[in-house]
Amino acid sequence: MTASLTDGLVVKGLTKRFGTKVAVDDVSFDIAPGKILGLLGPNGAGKTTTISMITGLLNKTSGSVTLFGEPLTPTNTAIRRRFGVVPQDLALFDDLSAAENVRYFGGLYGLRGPALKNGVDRALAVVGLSEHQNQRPATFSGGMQRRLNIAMALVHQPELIFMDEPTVGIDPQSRNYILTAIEKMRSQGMTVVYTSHYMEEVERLADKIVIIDHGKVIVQGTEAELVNLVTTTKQVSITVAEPKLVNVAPLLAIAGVQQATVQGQELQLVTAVESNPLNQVLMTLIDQGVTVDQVDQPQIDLETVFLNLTGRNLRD
Amino acid sequence: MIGTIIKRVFVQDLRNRSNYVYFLILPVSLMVILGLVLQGTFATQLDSKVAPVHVQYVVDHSQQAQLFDKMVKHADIAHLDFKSQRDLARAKHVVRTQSNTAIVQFGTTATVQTSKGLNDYQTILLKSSLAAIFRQMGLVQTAIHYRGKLATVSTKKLVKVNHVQAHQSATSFQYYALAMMGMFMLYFSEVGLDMFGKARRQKTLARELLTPVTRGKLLNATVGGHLLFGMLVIGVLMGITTGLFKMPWSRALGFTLINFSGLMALFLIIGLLMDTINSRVGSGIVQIVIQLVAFLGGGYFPTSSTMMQFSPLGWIMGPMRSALWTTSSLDWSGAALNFGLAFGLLILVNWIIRRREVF
Repeated sequence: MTASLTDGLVVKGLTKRFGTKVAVDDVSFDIAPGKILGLLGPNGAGKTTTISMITGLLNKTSGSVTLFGEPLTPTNTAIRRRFGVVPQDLALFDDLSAAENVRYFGGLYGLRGPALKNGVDRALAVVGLSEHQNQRPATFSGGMQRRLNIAMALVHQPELIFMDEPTVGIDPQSRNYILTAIEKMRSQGMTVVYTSHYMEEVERLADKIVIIDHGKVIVQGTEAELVNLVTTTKQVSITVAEPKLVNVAPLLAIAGVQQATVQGQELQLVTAVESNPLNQVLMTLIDQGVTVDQVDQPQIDLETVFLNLTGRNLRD
Repeated sequence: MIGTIIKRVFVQDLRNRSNYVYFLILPVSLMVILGLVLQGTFATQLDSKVAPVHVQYVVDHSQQAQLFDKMVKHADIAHLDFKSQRDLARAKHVVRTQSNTAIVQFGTTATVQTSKGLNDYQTILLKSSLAAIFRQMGLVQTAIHYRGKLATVSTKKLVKVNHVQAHQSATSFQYYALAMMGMFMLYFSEVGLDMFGKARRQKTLARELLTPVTRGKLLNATVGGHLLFGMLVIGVLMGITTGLFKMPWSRALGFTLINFSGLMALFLIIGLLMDTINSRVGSGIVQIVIQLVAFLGGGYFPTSSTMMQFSPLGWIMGPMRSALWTTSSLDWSGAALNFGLAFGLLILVNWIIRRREVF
């Protein structure tokens, strides 16, 4: 069965003003169930304010949010049982153990008895903290605290989870652990809204990307769609052992190859972005008796997309 | 959900070590120190402090003297120890050389001689007891003279103590046990001031508000958790003071617990209100309020009933003292006032919190 978009999250014209300052300006996006939406933008872009409005922590000035087909309003507390939130800041009770922290939030989501116990065990297992469940967060490393922060949002098995910069300030090992856990969540059908200013994370996880800056949505789509927005060609550099043997004419005849030039030891190709002629190019070179030493195909990343669209870097 | 929050707050209060210092060690230490320093100021148990007077009586062979001899042999008067003495010179020697002694020389007239240093109470006791005996002797002699029947008069009925309105009075330790417990209930305003402060600093408050819990439930359940802890503190202090100072809580256990709880609830919510309005200014205001209320309410030393009327501490101190040390009927007005005010202020805090965008 294909889930309709209205079963997921639909945000329309979301706006937040603080006095005369517009923090979030007419933001709209949607995400289907079981997918990961990456909300990408530099610090201060309005990501957290957007999440806060969607989850009901802040009142919105205008706009609407529909979650699982139901409008999200301050009085509709029942719908909150269906989503979880991992806040950007660590939000842990330092005088409760890891398990008690998770159990407390499970209780707030209405879990009781065996359901609560199972929820706590499962959430701690997902983030790899089962062995440390009786320790207090103060004894944890930064990465472990971040993982506990996530477990507290998972205890009630939400259908959708908002993760606001969940990997800020942690070591690469813990970051990888968290990203892998999120991929597992998606494989289990959970919808994830993931905000970050790390484009590598969004590239790795997101099925759909919304780039936000100065409170406005700059662009949104899949990674390929965003790359296509800023360029129609890509470059491939092939290092060869015998450049004199290279005959560029057959290469130019391959579909998608727009330019082919030899400079020193390197064969430079310009290809159409939607095509993938590399295999055919390599076969042709081998037929010409050329030994290929190295192939470089620089990727156009989201950083480049952001730079092209805003004129500044993501981490400015 | 509410139970979950109450439990969490209660557990956190129990694990907060500073609470043990603030609400147990400090008040009990002050009870001991102040009770020792001001020992005697409040004590009215004179009878337990009076040394017995050894009364030697020397009688001749007159009818009156013989009657006196018979009466004192059967008299049982506290702090007076009558002994017959045949040798007057020996009796006088004892009075000259030993303290707390006296001679009653009884013939046609009675002469009393006491050792130096008898205090007022001992002197009054001796004089009044002798007066009672002489009065009794007069009755006996009248009966003999008229050959009438002697009315039996019990010496116990000669002095009647009104036991209806008074239990044993409070010692200085007991006074300060009650006063310090009341005083430290005022310091629950500090708990109120930081009721959500730590949760704001730790960002857990915002996280709780992302769950299905409403602001009102979160607020009231958090207050409930602290109230529960406060009642436990009262219970523990009652237990400690019973053991240390023989506090007679059992005479009005429920009444005193409710009175203390009302005061604690009021000040917990006063602190919360100050934090809700302006935590920076609130802290200073709360300190001033605590000192004023403690001073007027007799927290530091006894104050007049007029002054106590202006203090929530005073509203309950009088009724609790009456409940513990008299058999007067229980006066619930102080507890009702404190609970009523606490409830009103809690409604006000709920109203303010619900109107604000940020908790």
